[in-house]
Amino acid sequence: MIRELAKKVKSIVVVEMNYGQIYYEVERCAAGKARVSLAPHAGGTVHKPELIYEKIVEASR
Amino acid sequence: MRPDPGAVLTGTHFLQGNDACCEGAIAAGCNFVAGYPITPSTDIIERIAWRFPRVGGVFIQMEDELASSIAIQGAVWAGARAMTVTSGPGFSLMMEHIGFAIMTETPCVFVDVQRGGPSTGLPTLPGQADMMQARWGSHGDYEIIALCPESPQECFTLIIKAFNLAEEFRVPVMFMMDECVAHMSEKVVIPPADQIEIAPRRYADQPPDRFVLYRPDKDLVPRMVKAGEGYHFHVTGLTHDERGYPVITPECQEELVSRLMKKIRASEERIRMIEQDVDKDTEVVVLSYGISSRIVSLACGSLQCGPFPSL
Repeated sequence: MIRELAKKVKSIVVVEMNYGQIYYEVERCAAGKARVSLAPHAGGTVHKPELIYEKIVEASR
Repeated sequence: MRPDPGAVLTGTHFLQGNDACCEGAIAAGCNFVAGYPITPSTDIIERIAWRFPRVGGVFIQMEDELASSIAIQGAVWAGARAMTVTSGPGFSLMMEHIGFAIMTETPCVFVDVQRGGPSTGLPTLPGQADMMQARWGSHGDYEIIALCPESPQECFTLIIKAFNLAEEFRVPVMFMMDECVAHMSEKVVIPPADQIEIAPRRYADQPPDRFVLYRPDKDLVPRMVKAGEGYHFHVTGLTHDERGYPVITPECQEELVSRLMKKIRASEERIRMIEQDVDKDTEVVVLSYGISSRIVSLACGSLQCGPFPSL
């Protein structure tokens, strides 16, 4: 699924409450067809929505 | 197959995710839970301990997570539908027995309510850092199924799915909650029992003298037997042949492990469950799961309304 998606979009942002777990799987499957970035978080609370917003804006540039 | 109507808490409720998980498990026909209390998952077994006497289930508070994760497997081979419930530190202790369930093809459910780690970390606060442990935590090569709910409603519906997948593929299914979803209270709609589909166990239909324990069906999944019904069987974590007896050779290893992998991989598209909102003009995709997906929804919604005031 990610492999096909990566051919169609410019960028994929992975948001997860860790420092990159599913992110690396997405990056592997995207195989350079789309830029993959991570919005990491160490846990203890959820991401601030404005930080995700910022990541999406960055990814769209 | 439908659940017992007397056991299902049909109606509209205001439940926290942990309670919804418990009610979903009961609706899925779960009738055996072994667990060792650990925050933030404790509410699940507290409710199980309260509900099970009313619906004919058996709950055992075990001495630790190792015991819990193997007790459920004994129960499954005796005919029960079983799960255990834990959080990160307990999940770490269960890894060996998750491998045992994979190797012996014991259908069961492991609920991990994720909290901040490593180690004892943040007992009362959320994390999503056990995901790769669910995938790779036990030694050896295998495929696994993991589901990740994002709301109390999904805790109910997806735990039923977890039990069904466990039965269909004879594999332990990881139910990866997080502390936020576990402790948030929302509306949960529990349908009538006759609208809940539960996958029956795939029992052998051959007589005991013709039955071969690990001879797979066409979908590579073998049928089970229940202890006490006249079948003689041997279950081991060692590499085994179709009879279930150890055969310590590379050839047997190849045949067994490749089947354990293929039975999941061949059905990957059917197992995969995602919600997606992507059209032909989409340039940026945001991928998330569990509680984080709800924050993503908030952030994506704000893209239509303009930036957050703090930016």
